[in-house]
Amino acid sequence: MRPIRLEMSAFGPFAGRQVLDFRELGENNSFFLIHGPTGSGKTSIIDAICFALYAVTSGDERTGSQMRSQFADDGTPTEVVFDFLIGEESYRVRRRPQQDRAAKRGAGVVTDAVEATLWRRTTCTDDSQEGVPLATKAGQVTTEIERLVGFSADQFRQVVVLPQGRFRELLSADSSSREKILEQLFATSRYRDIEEDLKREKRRLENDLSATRIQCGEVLRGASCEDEDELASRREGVLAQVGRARELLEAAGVVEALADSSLKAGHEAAALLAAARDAEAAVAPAEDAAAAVSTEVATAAAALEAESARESERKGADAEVARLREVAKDAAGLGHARADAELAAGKVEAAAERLVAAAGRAATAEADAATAAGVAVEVVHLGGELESAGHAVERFESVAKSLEALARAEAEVAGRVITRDAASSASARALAARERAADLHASVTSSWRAGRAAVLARSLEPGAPCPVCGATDHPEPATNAVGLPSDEELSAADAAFAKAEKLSADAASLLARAEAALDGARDTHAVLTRSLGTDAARGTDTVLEELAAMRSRRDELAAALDAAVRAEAGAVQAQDAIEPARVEVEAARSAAGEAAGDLAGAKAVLARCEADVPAEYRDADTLASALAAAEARAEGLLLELKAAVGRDSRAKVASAAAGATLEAMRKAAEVARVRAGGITAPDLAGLAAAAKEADDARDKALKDHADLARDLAVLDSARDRLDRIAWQTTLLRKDHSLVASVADAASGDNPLRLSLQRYVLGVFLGEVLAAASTRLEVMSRNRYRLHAATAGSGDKRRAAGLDLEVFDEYTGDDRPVATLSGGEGFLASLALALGLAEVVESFAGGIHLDTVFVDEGFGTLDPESLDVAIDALMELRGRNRLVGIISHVRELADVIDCRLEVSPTDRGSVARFVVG
Amino acid sequence: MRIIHTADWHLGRVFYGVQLTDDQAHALDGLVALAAQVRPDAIIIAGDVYDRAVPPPEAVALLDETLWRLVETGAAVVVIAGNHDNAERLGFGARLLARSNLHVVGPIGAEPVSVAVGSGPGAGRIWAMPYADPAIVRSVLEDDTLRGHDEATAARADRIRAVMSRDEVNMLVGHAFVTGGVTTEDSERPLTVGGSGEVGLRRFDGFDYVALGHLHRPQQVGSARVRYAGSLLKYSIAEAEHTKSVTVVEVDRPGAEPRVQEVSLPVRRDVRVVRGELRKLVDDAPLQNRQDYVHAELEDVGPQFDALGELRRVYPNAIGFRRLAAEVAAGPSGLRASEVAKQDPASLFAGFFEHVTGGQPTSEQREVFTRIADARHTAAREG
Repeated sequence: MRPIRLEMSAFGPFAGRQVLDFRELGENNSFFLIHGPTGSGKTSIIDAICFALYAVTSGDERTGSQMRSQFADDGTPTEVVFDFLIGEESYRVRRRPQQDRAAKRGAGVVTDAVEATLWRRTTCTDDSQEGVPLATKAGQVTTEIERLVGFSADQFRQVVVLPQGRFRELLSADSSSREKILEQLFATSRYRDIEEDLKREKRRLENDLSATRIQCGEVLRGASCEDEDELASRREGVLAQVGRARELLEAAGVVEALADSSLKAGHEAAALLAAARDAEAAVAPAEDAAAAVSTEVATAAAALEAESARESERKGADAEVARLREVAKDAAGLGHARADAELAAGKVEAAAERLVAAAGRAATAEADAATAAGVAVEVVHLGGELESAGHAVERFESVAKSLEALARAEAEVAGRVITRDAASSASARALAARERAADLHASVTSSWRAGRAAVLARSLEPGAPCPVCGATDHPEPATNAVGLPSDEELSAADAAFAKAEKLSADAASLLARAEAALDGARDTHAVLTRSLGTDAARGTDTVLEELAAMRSRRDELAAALDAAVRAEAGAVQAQDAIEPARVEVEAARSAAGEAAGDLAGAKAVLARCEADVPAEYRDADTLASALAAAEARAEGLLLELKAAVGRDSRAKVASAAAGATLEAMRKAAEVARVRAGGITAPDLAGLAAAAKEADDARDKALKDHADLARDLAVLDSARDRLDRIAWQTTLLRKDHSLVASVADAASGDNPLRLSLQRYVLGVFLGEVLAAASTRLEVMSRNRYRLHAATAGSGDKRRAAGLDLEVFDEYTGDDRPVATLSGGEGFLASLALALGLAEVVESFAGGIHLDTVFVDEGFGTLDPESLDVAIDALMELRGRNRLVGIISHVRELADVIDCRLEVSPTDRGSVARFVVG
Repeated sequence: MRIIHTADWHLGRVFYGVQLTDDQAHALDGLVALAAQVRPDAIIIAGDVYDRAVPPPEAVALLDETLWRLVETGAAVVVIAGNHDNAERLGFGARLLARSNLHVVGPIGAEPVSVAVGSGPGAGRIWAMPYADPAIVRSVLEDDTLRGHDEATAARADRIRAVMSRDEVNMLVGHAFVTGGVTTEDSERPLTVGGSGEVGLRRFDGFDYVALGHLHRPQQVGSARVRYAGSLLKYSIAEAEHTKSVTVVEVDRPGAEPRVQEVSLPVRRDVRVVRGELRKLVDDAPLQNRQDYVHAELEDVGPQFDALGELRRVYPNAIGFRRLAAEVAAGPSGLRASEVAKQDPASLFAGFFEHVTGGQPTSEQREVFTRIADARHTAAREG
């Protein structure tokens, strides 16, 4: 995992959006320092990477949601976007923790759920492109990243990030957790899989072996034996029994054959005797049958003779049939005449009906025409009334309008009176004010004039001529009166008087205009009143009510007139209909006359036809049934004759046959009697019983033999199966011992207690420790080396191999890594992490351990050790591996010119790359 | 113009747990004596005066005393910051000190800094080019295009050449890694993480003498005109074979070839490497120079109990040892990881079986293992 670009928003001390582009480090700068004062957010950068990948922080001391920046404003959600490289493939992960934000609407707080997305962006050329999404749920993203990076979060923190204060984790991890990491790094799980497969194979063989034991038991149980010896002895016994049973079976077969042949002979003798008896018995019935046939011949001959004697009867019946057929022809003519007469009668009736209807319509038309004359008079009358109603409405409408105007004129007069009164009082006030101003002006003017003398008198000097009179003596000069108005006061009085005079003139002119307006309104009112005359006295409401009544009356009249006009038009139509109705009456009357004539003709024809047919046959049905009866009788007579002829001939044939049969029977009886001569009746029951007994005996022998043979087969098959199982068991035992030897050795059940995977891991660990030791030797001034604890020490039962020890060259002995001091432990951890990265990269086992972050720890070093560690780190320059060192130690910043500087401000921290 | 060129004092240096202050004071006594004898126009200290940004008090006191005594000789003293120094701390009070003819140049400025030195035809200027990170040079010179030490140094030298007079002797004092210089393992700290941090030799064209610091081995680069004075003492075991010195340089007039002379300073305790079996080293140790900082290369096959304690019985200042035969432990069977990756599982198993049981597996056992391993391999491949 190699970082490309990290974007943090509102994360930790980074309030806003902080983008760190690791490409700024350049191709060669694979080693850099994350530097800044304590608390500035150095670790938060590593936290952001861990959070983006695994939703946890580097030290696991803060949770993702706690990483929300205290400085951030509410609108900026906490988010980390991290682009990184796995081998040649490039990925981007974006993650947001669960966080509270202010609701967009209203007060309150909304909690946003965790969000995470992972993209592959190998083909992307631009930072803004997102690439192909691989996972979009937080859990899936973490799982996918674990797969891609090859580490779980915990392992990531042991191998890729050496977290602050926990750098010793990999160093002092126990064997099994170190095994897990090494297994991941070097893909040695296949060796463990092989171990497991071997164990499984061994277990399978063990199961097969126990299965054979169970099979043996089942086979013996199937044969109802306790053990194989019992099976053998029982088989011997059954074999002997089978031999005896076969002999018995053969003997029974001979006995049965003898009994069967005796029984068969008995049956044949009995059959001959029975046949003779049967033939004798058959002769008597044949004689009876021959006698019966002779009687029938005589009876049939007599019947034939009687029938032949009825010839005249048959002729009379034929003549009756001929006569009735003649009568039927006449009866058909009668039917036609009757139908014609009925048709004519119908026509007469229809003509009469048509006449009545035509007469009715003519009468209606005449009545309608009479009504129409009355309607025309009404139309004229209604027209007149409607006209006068219309005039009345018009007049009342004009009266109503005038009344409205009158009301407005009255209001106008009232308004003008108020205006005039106001103007009149204003004018009076203005006049009074003018009077007062005139008085004041007069008094000020006279005072001022009086004052002029005093002013002049002030300049008088005794003996000097007066400027007014030229007198040189000034016996009583005007005195200086107090309160004389000044020039300004005089001009103010002038101005006040002029203003009052103007105000008074204005008020008078306003009054004159108000008077004129009032007169105009009164004139208008008077004109209206005159034009209304007496109507003026009527109230507007009354007029309006009457007007409404008149309007509705007018509308009613208009509707009535409309109806009357429509009725008048109907009457004209009725007048026109009278003439056609009368023509129709005439036509109907002549048609009725014609129909009566036709009916009389038809009745005459009918009378003639009735005379031709006898009264009893005038009904067609009666005639038909009489004809049918006559025909049936003629037919019947003929049939009876034919039947008598047939019976006579059949009786004669039967008589000949019966005679022949009787003769044959008598001959057969004779033959049978001759054959049965000399034979006595056999004991059939005794013979049958003997045969059955012999048969049963043989069946039993057969069954006994079969049972024994089956028993023997069961025992034989059991024997065979046991032999086969024994052979399989031998093979399985051999296989099992072989597989077990391999499986036990591979899974660590061996003198060294070392499993195959541990063995392989030991090889890799050795390599890692060699690489780590090379660095640690430099950093510890040749003092320490790391190596795996040897199997000889410690508990023998524990699986050997992956515990670490440090060899101290100064004491010449091993000691556990836990005994290293803080600074030494840090150096050892650093060496181990770097060694691990180096070996994993060279192994190329699919995992890319091309980034290492070391979070602090340098503070634990004394100045000289720090120098040595710095020198060792500087050795890493130019390797194909990114090493990020986090420290606030000043010396590191002085030495490492490739830095990610993190600076705190009062609004959160900012970070930037500084590259020399 | 005559100067003494020295560099890389690394005052405050701790060497395998030993504070070297006394050794440094001893050597600096020698420098003061040399200055009094040679009467140079100037003494140049070309960076890495201190070993670290925050030096221990003893180191500060030693520098204070030494500079006072050097200035007392009447020479101008020019000090620049190196990569180990903290420029601001070193440059404290520089303007006040300049009144006393002590010219300390810590942080760099936009304008070149020089000190006028000497009289007569050899009179001239010493231009100071203290060490600075390229990032700082970019910011001070306001030129963002400068990348790396080479370009930064070129730009700084250009600025000096732009203002200097060719009619007088021009010396440059700097702290850099010049291409062609020979480094010593474990001695000089790299100046940069990315790239080499090297500066091209021609960047220093136009100066009569370039007095450099940084490389611990005394050496000239290209010609006698460009020179590292080397460190004051041996500061790593790899420097045990060096001969440390300061350089006395004379330039008679502008453009003249400098005359250079290396002068060794007295050494209190040498850094030495001894080699042999521990027992022999202890028993046969010569009686002289036992106080030296001795590093032993032990030829013993096995680990030795308390080897350092044994060594210190004869070499009380022994600093450490290395066992030449110390092998890094290999895996359980001596197998290497790269071989594991290549081996087929069956022969790996054979090796494992022999390792854990002491005997080779039978052909049947190998067959069983191969069958199971192949089945697993096939299953894994088929997913």
